[in-house]
Amino acid sequence: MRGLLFLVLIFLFQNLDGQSISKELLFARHLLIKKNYEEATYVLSSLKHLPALTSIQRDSVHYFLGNIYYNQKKLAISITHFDSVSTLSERMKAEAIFFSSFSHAYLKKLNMAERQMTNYTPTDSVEQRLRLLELSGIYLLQRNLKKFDSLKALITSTNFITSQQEKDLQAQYVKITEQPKKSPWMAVTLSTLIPGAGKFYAGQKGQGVYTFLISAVLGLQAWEGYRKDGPSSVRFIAYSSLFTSLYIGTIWGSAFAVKVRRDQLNETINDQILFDMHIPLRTVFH
Amino acid sequence: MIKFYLICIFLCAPFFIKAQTKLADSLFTAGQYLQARVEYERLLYLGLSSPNELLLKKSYCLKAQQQYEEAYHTLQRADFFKGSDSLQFKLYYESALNAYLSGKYDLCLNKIQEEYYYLPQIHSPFLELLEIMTLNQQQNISEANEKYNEFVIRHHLSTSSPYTAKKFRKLKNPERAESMSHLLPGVGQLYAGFPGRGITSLAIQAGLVTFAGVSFLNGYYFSGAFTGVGLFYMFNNGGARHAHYLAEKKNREIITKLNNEIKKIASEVIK
Repeated sequence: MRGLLFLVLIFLFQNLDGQSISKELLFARHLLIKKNYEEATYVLSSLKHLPALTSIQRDSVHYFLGNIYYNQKKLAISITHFDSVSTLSERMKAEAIFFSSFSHAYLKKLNMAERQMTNYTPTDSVEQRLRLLELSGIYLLQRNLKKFDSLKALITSTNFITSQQEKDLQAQYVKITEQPKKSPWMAVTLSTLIPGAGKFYAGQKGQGVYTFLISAVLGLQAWEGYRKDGPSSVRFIAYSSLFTSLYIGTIWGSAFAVKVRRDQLNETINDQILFDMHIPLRTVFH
Repeated sequence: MIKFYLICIFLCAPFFIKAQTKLADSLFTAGQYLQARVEYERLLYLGLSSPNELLLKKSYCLKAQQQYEEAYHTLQRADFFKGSDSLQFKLYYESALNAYLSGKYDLCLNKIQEEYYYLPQIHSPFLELLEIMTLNQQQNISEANEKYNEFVIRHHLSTSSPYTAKKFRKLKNPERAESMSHLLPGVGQLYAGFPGRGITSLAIQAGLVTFAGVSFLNGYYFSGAFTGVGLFYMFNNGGARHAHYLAEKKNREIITKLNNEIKKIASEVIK
């Protein structure tokens, strides 16, 4: 009877004190669900270095920390924890790999993201679809259209979890292939002929018109100074200098505008691809 | 015999709860706020103590760490209708205070109104003071003045009202400052209480108009129109927007000074 009492007391002590590792993990999970990230990180960090931690428990610690940092958008540190989850915990590992790969893609480490997805063997059909979708997204982000095409045959848009995103990725593929290819040299030539025309051609129409008007205003004043006071007048020198600076700047800016516009378009497409890669991950794992 | 052991076990439980609460409280006293927050959350998770009290204590930790918004949200997890009147009052007061400190003045006033409605028996100078300061922050000076007068009467204060002082009497109207600077360059800045900037703005714009006039008279029509008039137009618009910004800045300064005055006066009551 005394032994029983001792056991009950130990159980009660542990229950109230909450010091046992598995209970601490449950507590950390509760904090994570309640979005008390700072508190959860503190609890998990104090557990992380305990020698008594079993492999599965260690995996749970890394898995929770990975999730916390992911939710806080601290992706680099989130990857470290997701990658520390061992293969012992199958379901946790699957989620960790998918989120780690997505985080790599988000951080523009596309080769790492691709490697993680290619090396991963899915355990069921849902994971298989998800893997295909993630790989398609990564190939589009890499602008590796050949590899994307090779996956096209495997994507049949029959799974409700990924079908919408698969269609969206196809649409992004079309956008990439039909993206207008504008030449910086053309922009330079146009701006040399008519100030601002190169920017207009690059797609920055407002800036093109604005630059043309400012150039015209300065040019007219320089002409006026030349006409009334001659080429050595202060008025002419001041306005013509301003005009020349703007003219040269516009030519250089036009070439740059083509690159900026292209980057902007690519950024928009990439954001949409990442969005489409993220939605099914949340649906499947959260 | 078994009965005896069971009694022992159940008597032990309150001891452990107390020990756990004591641990959290001692961490808070030692300034280890994050650890204290964890322990309060643990008690909440285990459901061993009054949640309202624990949430209040957790909010104290967050307030000490200047995480006012988080403290406000933590308090909103509490059941405001449970517990003693004094505990309920603390929940309302701390919610209002944290809302004030995080700049959410509407939420602060809401909590104060709720307290007045649900706990009419409790009158606290702290809450009244917070209401006056919040109304000031919302630039609702007339209502703040009324509340201040009620506060003075209720607490038998004899000091003169800061609202009668010339510097606090009227706030600047940013729209008016903007319109004034459009019509008469620099006047909006003067009205906002920045004479140096007003004079500079006036000098620049007057110079541009003069340049435009002289250019036109000498037949430099393009220079007069584009440099003189064009730049005048730009400076006029920019100056007007600047006057709007300066009036808002002045108002913030006035309110900070006014609230400091009120705090000084109210400290007599709170002492």
